[in-house]
Amino acid sequence: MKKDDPDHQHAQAYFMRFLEDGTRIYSSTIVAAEYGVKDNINHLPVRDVTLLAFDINHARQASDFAKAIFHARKKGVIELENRVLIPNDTKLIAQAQVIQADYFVARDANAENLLTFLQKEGLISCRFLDIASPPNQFFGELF
Amino acid sequence: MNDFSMSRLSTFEIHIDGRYKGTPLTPDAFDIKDWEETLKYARTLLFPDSPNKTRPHISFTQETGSIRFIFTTTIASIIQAHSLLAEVQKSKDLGILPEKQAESIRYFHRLAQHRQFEIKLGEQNKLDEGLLINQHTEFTIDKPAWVETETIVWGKVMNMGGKTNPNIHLETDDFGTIIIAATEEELAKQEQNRIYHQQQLQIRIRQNAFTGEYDTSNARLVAFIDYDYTESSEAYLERLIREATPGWAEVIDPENWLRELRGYEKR
Repeated sequence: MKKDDPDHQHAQAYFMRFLEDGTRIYSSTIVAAEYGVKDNINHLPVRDVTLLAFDINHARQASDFAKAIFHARKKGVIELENRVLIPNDTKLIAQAQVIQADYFVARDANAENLLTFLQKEGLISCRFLDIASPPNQFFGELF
Repeated sequence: MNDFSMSRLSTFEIHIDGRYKGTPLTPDAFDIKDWEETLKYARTLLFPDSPNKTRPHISFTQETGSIRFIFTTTIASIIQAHSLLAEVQKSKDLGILPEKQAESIRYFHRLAQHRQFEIKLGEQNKLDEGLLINQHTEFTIDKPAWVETETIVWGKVMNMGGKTNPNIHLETDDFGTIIIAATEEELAKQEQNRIYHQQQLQIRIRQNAFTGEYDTSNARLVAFIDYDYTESSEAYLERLIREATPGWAEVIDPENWLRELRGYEKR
């Protein structure tokens, strides 16, 4: 939403391209809550995205992921500087898995780490798409 | 339907054994209604959520020796059905199944009880590892625990109104037809014609706490959601960005801001 952000153009290009291709874009009510800390939630483009409320399926999936992450952290397999047991990124990844999303689109190193770990464990099929990466390259590979 | 020839296939068997009028069971003992119901419930067992027009093809043959139904369809759906049945065999708990599959098992259970049949269901080459039902089988019948949830659904309004139970029938891609209760007042004040139009609705719906399924026969209208589609997606997004810019002006590094918000250490 910040025009002066270095990745703004990319973010907008991904969004528009997904819409044009008829790709369904989801966002989460959890993201809406985070967004609302700084700005009015009504500024989220809810007309063009499906807003996903965190439900019992997502809860079950998030617990499974959190369990795996918690064990891995205890064994030192992954390092996360977070004391929150089930941070929001884990919940969002769980929602992505439940709806069988192809891509988790963000610019968020922590979510990327978690997703990569869950992928290695074979717990998730969704891939991370970093909006900092050039859209042309991404769509070039895809189509 | 999906291209049957391209998919990897496997076979699923329902094997019914017993006696009929003092002699070993043969297909003659089955009335046309039994065939009809067995086929219907077999389909639900294999594809509980897919409407007929979107599910993969299922072919069927009947083999000799007792009554043997052999179904051929995609390997993934057979593996899935088989492992659920194996789990039910262990736990005898129908609560682990989605409601439609549980309903199928209850049918076979009734059949086994009323006519003293022994029924095996599972992947054809692993039938003994699947589910065995006979007249002594007892399943635990846990009532599903429901949680209320609010969600947004998209679909085509097929029907709206009714005298005693005013409601909206919404045909959705994701959950089939959902029946959404509303009050007469709520429906009466709608000024635009919504019948046969695509519509987004905010609803309250019950969700099975064990399986996560929605109870599509029991939803409640919260609101009709109408968006203005005269504005193009690009103009819409541009406008929102413009309106959002002041709110985000003081956030210099959004990624770091998000890290902190989610409880990560400040970098």
